[in-house]
Amino acid sequence: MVEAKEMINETECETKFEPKLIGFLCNWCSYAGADLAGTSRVQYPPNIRIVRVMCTGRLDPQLILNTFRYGADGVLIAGCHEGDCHYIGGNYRAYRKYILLKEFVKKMGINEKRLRLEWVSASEGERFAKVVREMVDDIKEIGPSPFGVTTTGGVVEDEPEPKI
Amino acid sequence: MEEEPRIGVFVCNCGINIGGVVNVEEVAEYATTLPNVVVSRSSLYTCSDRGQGMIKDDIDEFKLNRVIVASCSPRMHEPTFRKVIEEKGLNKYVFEQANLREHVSWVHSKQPEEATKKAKDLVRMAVAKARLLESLPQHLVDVKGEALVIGGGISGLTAAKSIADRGFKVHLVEKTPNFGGKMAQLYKVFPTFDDPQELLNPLVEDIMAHPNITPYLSAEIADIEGYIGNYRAIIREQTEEKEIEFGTIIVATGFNAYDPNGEFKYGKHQNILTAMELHQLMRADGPTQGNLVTPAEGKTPRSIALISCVGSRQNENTVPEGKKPNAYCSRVCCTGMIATGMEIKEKSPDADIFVLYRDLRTHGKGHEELFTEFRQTGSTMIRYTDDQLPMISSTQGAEYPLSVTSYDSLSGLNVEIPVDLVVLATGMIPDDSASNIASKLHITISADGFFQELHPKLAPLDSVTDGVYLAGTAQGPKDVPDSVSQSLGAAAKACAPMALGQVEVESTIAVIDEDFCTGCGVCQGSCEFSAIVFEERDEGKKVSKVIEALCKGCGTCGSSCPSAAITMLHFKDAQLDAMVKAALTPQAGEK
Amino acid sequence: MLNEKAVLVIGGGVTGIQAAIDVANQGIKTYLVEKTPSVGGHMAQLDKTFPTLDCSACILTPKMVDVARHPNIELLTYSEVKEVSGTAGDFIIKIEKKPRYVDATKCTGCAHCAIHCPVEVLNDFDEMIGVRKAIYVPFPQAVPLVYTIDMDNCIECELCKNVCEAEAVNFDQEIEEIEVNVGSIILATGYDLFDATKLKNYGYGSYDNVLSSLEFERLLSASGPAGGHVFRLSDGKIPRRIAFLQCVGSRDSEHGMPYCSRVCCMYAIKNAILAKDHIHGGCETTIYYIDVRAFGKGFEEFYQNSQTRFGVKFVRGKVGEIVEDVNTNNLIVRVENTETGQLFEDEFDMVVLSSGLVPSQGSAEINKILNLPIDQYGFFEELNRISPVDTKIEGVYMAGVCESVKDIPDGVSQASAAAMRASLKAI
Repeated sequence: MVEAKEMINETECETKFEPKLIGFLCNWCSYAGADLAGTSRVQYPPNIRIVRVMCTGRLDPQLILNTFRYGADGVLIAGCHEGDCHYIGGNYRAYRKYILLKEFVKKMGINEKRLRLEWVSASEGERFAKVVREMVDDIKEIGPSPFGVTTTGGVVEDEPEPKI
Repeated sequence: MEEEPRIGVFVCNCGINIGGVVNVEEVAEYATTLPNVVVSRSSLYTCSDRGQGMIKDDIDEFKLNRVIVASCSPRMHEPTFRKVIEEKGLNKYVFEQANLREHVSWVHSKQPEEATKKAKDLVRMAVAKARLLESLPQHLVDVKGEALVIGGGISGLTAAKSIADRGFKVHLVEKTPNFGGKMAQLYKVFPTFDDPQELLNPLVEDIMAHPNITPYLSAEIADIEGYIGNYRAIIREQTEEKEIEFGTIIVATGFNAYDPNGEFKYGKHQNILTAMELHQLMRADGPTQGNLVTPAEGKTPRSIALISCVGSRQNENTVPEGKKPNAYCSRVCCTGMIATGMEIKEKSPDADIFVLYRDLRTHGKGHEELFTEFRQTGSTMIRYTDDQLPMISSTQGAEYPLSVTSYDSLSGLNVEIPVDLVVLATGMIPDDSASNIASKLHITISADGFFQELHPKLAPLDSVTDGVYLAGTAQGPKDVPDSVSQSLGAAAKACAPMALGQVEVESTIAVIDEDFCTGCGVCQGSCEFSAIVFEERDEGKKVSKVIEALCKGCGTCGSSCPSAAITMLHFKDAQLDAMVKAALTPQAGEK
Repeated sequence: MLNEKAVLVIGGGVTGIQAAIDVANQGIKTYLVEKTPSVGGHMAQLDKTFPTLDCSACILTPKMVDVARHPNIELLTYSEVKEVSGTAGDFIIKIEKKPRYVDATKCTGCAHCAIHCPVEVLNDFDEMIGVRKAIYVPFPQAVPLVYTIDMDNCIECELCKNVCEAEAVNFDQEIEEIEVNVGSIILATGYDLFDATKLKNYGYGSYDNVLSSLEFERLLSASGPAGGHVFRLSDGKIPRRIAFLQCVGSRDSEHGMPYCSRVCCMYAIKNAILAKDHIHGGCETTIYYIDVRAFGKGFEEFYQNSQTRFGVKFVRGKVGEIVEDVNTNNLIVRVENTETGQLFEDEFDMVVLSSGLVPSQGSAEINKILNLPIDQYGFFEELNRISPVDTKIEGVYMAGVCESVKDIPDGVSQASAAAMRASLKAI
């Protein structure tokens, strides 16, 4: 199977590219870690938008792929450290899907740096900020997502509602 | 819920915590342009009485059926605001919170423009989700005020009595003909050398006479099914079967002593005993009426070796072939061994005692002091290492029947000790019934073979299944006072749902659409809580069904279903998708 | 559907919190009295807990929030029990609520007062390594998140009052006395760390780089005075060789307590692992011990892993003396390796004393009121071998270290046990 390669949109590089990141954070660990970054006033770039889920095990690969399709330049999945999952093994299952997803997005022509999974505990505020900073820097280097419409100011066309 | 969403958005300044960075007015203004938002306001402190009052007034005035508060982290005030809207008759699940403080103003404080933009995005995401939110019914299950206690040792007895005293009926099931378990077989209970019968008898009497307790001896659980508050079981008492119903379960199935067959020449000479066997020998009702004599010769022992870590702290190299190593420490053997040494000295004051140990773990209340007292008897401590286990050999008719050879790491010497008696301080292993009980009750077993607690630090008494609690050595090796503490604690846990008569189980659970379910069972394999089972339909069709009371709503099944038959309430695919789309889609006309 | 009778829990550490929750979950009204401004106790000071290396705050704060929110629990922080009268089933308790000078119903925990307060003092919670202001919360996740003015250090400049948008600062607040009626009492008054200045041969208190275990915990903690970066107090340098000394004040009839403090072996192993984890560029850790008491569930495995996976070194020998090199502030440890019989010296950048646990000041204070029998160390005596949480006064129960030294899982189990016993006198 031919692997599509990302084309860097030359014109985009002239205007200052600010990656749009979506983060899926679990309620018990990583969301609390992001909260701690807040209470500790640790500063990080404003590029990420967080969606709270109860457990990273909730994350359907379809949702992640949709996220890219809607124009995300990067997707962060952040859950509990191994052994700490509030639901015992949800994070392990998320990890299994992530491994597969990584391969899949590569084949779709998405740079694998755009998809990242991290274990962030509720006490790792500093670390959460660091992860966001790193992702923003990494993605700035590789440019906007090939599906990116957001940086051009366009709007995604209306799709039929995904099956509930 | 078919009605048109009518959303109220309340954006908080939180003093200057949010307002000092984010242009809150602008965000509130922006919210009015979003679909289905009928009112949008800002306030100084939304969580304050004034702020809460404002929300309530607007619910009335604008007939809101969805409420969004854009303020601090939902981990802070989601319950607060949910209560506010419930007071106005709204379901708590039609509330959504956007985090503009911990996730925006506090972390982008030098970038007010970007922060304001991000705040707008987060509000837009919240609105997108809120439009699709639904009322969810509160799931209450009735809890029958009766408990099943499995195991009639000190732990089971303690738990049963507490629950019964509290006013609930208890079914106490013991597989042997007597209550008392392993504690009843001991000679004395350390570190204060209490008589186990003196401690147990009053408790057993209380239990036999207790109006709330139904004791079953020589009995076992033939079958069990159900979930918290609603269990049914069949108890088989010898040949009779009885069906019972109850709400909670305490697992107190205890331990067995490790069988040292194949190690330290156990079984090869009558004078090599386990600690439990020595206890039998020292008891007044024992084979020698409590006289401490060697099994082979019937004589008073002059020299005795006590060896610790038999069946514990093992690795691949120290365990005989075919046996699985027990890596854990059995916690009580060191003190037990020292106590045994004291007991031997009491019966045979002239005996020479040699203690062969790896680390002396006399950690409990009064244990170290006992050890100090023991050292004053002039007994010899030999510290061996796990790469050179002590060797026992028969001396074939020399003055002493046995010889123990060991390396002492403290003196650096190899020692050879002639002994009359060798006592192996054997570790604890789970009772035989453990794995059977585990599968019957849907609870799990830790790596060491004992029942697994929900959380090792903060929930040592709860199993992974609601309604099933763990007590005593079934959960891990421990001594009598610790077993009692744990059993009392497990009883308290069981009494909580029974006292309330009802327990609320998760509303944000998984729902399986049977029309799409192919019965593949992938969801069941992914559920850590055994909350999904097969059910038969017409024409032998098998579908998966969620046991609502057990579902925790984690979503792992939902993301695994290849037929997309599972909906995760309150975190539906459509809801999450809408949030993501809203995050990445500026409104028409926006930059 | 609340019971008529209530239960009083004295002490708001993890044990008191658990006891209160277990009583309240049974539908029984519970008062939880804590003398400091926040619940959490010593567990809140820890970075991670053994043997799971869970983040301590992460597993504790949900319980703290639970206790604050529970409909059946009345949380009385910054309060003390002053009088107890009556008998089991019918105790009358007088509680003194100390003035915070901040209105708890108005304070939103926004921290502006503290930002503007000009007075900085050493923070008890940080074991006097870190600082706080005269108006403060003991730690960022404090429950309740309400500021308190430490009047001993306040200069009454009223800057806090001026900047408080919620108008919560109130210098006119006074002591409030309340009286409650309860059926039973649970003591969960915890522990203090053994004062290692008593051991002159270790130099604690004189040598900057000899730390107590709690001081080290605060350095390790991500929300501590060093942000989780371990550095030497003498010169701020990163320590590359750290020694952990066991049985400091424990198993020591001469200068300390004869009993075993039970948790120190495990916490030293944990801290050694964390030191290696937190210190970038590597750090050698050596633990000097008499017996490694890794007895609990998962403990032995943790101990084995510390050697095989993390490379923590273990030397069997009780350290005889620590001497400071005045030029470098390094420490020279003198010890006999009892496995080889050799006497030797070794140099370290930092030494952490695994100090033992002793009954707390709080236990002694409450006992002036209750007059419970205590053992020779000050721990409350249990009724008998199979009533480990009953004190010798009917209706008064105990849990946690105030009964005898134990780790968090055992403390939490005992808390539930005490809740069971207490509930029988409150129905």
